[in-house]
Amino acid sequence: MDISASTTSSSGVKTEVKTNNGMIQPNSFRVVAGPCTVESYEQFEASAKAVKEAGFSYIRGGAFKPRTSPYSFQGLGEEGLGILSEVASEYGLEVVTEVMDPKDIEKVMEHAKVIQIGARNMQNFALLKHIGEAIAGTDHGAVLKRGLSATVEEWLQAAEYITSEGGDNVVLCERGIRTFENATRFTLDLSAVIVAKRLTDLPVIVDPSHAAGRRDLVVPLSKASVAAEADGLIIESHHEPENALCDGEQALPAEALHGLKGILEPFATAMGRGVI
Amino acid sequence: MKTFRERVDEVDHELVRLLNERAQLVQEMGSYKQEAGIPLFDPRREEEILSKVAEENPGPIFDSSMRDIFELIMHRIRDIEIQRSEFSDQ
Repeated sequence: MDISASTTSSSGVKTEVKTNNGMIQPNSFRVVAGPCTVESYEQFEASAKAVKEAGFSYIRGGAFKPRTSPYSFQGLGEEGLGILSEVASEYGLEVVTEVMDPKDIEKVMEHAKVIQIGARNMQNFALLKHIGEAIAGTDHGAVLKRGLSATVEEWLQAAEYITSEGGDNVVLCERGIRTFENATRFTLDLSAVIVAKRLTDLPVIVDPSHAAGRRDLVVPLSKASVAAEADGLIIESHHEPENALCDGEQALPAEALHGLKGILEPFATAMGRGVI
Repeated sequence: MKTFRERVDEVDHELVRLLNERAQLVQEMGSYKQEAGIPLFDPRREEEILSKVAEENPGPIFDSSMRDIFELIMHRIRDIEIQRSEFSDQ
């Protein structure tokens, strides 16, 4: 079903939200949560339960993981995809997961509604074009993360590689950029969220977990993202962050995830939106 | 030397005038785009402009440098558009 909705940003520039999969909806602030990686059925099920109980309907989780070191845990691959879709369907959740290789796109689309393109692949133009072709005319979408050192313009050009192949359903994701600051892992560039929304009609979400690299900043940055006109969040959560195989230090534990909706609601209401 | 400097000043004067004329045109187009709900960023059109200026460039400025110069001009003028659209509804 094609749902086309239009909202008006505070700039007065009309924002045409094109979405076939309902991930981004008018007057709503979408929260996607879940673990960095699918580690096992039990782990992902516990995370899915926490996401559901927190009142959210989209779960994230990596089956294919881009790791800086080739010796780090690389994800469960196809086995992980199976766990993702099985658990998600059990809990009535939609799946967002990353693809790194064009050969995996079709398989991933069988298990997930939304394909994520990671920051390190933002300028992997062959991958972007393949994804654009694959999602064209389907109810699948793509989340394009901003590269670690990419300008807003480079980010938008990368999105154009997907849309020019017919893949209209693209959501941009600001996830922090490299700066001299080392108090946080990256620096969340909220001005880029606003600029990207003024220049294009694509929705923009924020990943405060990867930007900060530490869980104590996730909630304040999430509040700021609502105020910065973002259309949603993608955050990391884990039922036992201290035992997570990757990025445990930035994952929200279940109890924090549970309170997130209530914390964000007053901010979203002030922006004329509801948290979903 | 004095004559050279005077001529450079004249060219600069003309460049400033022309750049503002370009900005004025872009502003008019921006208003139209805003009314029609067309996004301000159009990478296909920008590439057309950059290719054209490089093609028409007689030198001695390198084609790649001419593209850089025009890219900066387009970005800065677009910044005016973004800011103007923010304040136009207040």
